[in-house]
Amino acid sequence: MSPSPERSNGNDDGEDDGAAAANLPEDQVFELLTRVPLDDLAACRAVSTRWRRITYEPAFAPLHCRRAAAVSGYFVQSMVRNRYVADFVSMHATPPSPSPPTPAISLDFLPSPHVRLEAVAARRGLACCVAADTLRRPCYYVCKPATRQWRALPNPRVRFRTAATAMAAARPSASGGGAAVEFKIVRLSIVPALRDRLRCEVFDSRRFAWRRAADVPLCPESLDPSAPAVRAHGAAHWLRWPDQDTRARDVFALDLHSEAWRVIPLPREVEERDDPWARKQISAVEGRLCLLETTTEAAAAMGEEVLEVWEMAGYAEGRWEKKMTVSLKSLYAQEGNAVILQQLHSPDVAFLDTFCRVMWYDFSRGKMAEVEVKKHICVREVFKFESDLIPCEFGKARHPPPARTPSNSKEVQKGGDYCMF
Amino acid sequence: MASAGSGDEKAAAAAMITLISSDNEKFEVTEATATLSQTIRHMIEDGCTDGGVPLPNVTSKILARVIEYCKKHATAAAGEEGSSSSFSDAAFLEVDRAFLEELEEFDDAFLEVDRATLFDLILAANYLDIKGLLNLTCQKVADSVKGKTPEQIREMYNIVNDLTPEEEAEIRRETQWAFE
Repeated sequence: MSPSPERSNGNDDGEDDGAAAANLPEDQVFELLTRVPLDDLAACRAVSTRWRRITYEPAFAPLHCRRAAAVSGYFVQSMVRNRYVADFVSMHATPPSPSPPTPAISLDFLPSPHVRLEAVAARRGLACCVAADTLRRPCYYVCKPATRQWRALPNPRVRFRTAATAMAAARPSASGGGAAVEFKIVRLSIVPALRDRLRCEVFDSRRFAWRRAADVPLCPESLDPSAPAVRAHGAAHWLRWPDQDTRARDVFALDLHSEAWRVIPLPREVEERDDPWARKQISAVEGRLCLLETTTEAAAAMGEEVLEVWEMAGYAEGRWEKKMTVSLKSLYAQEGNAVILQQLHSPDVAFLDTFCRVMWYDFSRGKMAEVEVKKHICVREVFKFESDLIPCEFGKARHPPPARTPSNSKEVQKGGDYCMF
Repeated sequence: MASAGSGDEKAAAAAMITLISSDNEKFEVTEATATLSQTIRHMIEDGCTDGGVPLPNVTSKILARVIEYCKKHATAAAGEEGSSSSFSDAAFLEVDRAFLEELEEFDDAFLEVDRATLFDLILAANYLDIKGLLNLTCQKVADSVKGKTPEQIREMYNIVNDLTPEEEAEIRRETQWAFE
């Protein structure tokens, strides 16, 4: 379409060429971006620095959740009496439900009563779960908790213990109207006989099958089995345990697209710090990988803990940049010493947990929100999770529904109204 | 419609407001229509609408469309007020629903404009502080990015790509699965 010529009457300052969204004042860009569907938000973030910045403003997320009917928060997973329990928490109110009232987001719709959340495709609201009952054979599921849909997946080689799992999902294609969402799961496992490599398997929804990928020649025990993948820069990341000889730590990065991997060394300043009690974590903030270190060494006053945040400034060359150092004194004074930093929610806000509570804490302004999680005395894993409320199909390779073989019909019926198989 | 009827008797003038566009065209509207705009409502409350309300940020072309929207929705608001006093009445609800449907159709037709006009409407809705119109027009733009790549969005809305090649490569890596 052509820009209308009579537009020059418009009293916006400066440029007057065509239907330029660049001419819209900041507030209006904010207004319209808060209405963009969750699936399209990533594309909007890649349009310009201005659009990107606006979508990361603190006021954006709560309004976007409400207007674009999305949920945003965390799945927290704990071990309670030897069973995994995963609950969804959010600092924003759930959007007003459409015609069927939206149930609280959980994993209780899955056919197995005891499941472990393995990985999430955070932006698309998908999760990969495994039936965790030790007496039975594990069973893999893909599910969309916000719509309570699930589909059983074929199993990978479950006799090899899982070392790490990551998941990615593609944006549903705009054409065709079908809501089939394509996804990929990468699973690294430990073969007992092999001490120097991890076995790699990839599930691709387009083939709806697992395939073997090239082994990763890293020490299998260097990955923490209860550390969820940190997604940023198109890759999944895990902070590895210290090397046995050099004591050095690094980040294992697995590109979910190309399945290529590499290790990223930590900043030298962090490596050289002599603080045996320093606690290191990685987190993704505004799409960038961040390293968080809680330490007492750099603090001026003895015994005062500080949080140091390093951001991945150049991903290709693995260049870290120190973003901030913030004292944790007032956090401990307000919330007690038992708070555990889980993730960095935004550059200034941390997501923390303490006995049966999780909270969002702004380092300059204090606590923003708190949610009680009765069952979670000690949170083991935290998965950042965003989802729209639109039902989807998991992959295209659907079997015709009437073909219910006796072997899986039992499970399907248990699954409730929305199940898919 | 272009008459500066401010010198008339108070009784007639009380209900009518004159809006003056940036290109000096005058529009006479009822107070109920005009007060859909919070900006104008405040002006009326402050009693500074004698001699017309100048709107230097809105062209006549856009103002005409905004007024069209306000007229339709002012009647809707009046209808709502009427029904809320006796909303148990089933007949009233029936009428209401038909009216809402009609309103929806009107909104759909109202949005059938080119993008330049749509952006001008957003600006006008913002300046005049008309919540409903702002919501309607912003949602229309937001819906139009569905399934589009960043390049397509930039092209569609004439946005200059100010990301450095490194930043762009970074974001592409971050979202590559999404754009396959």
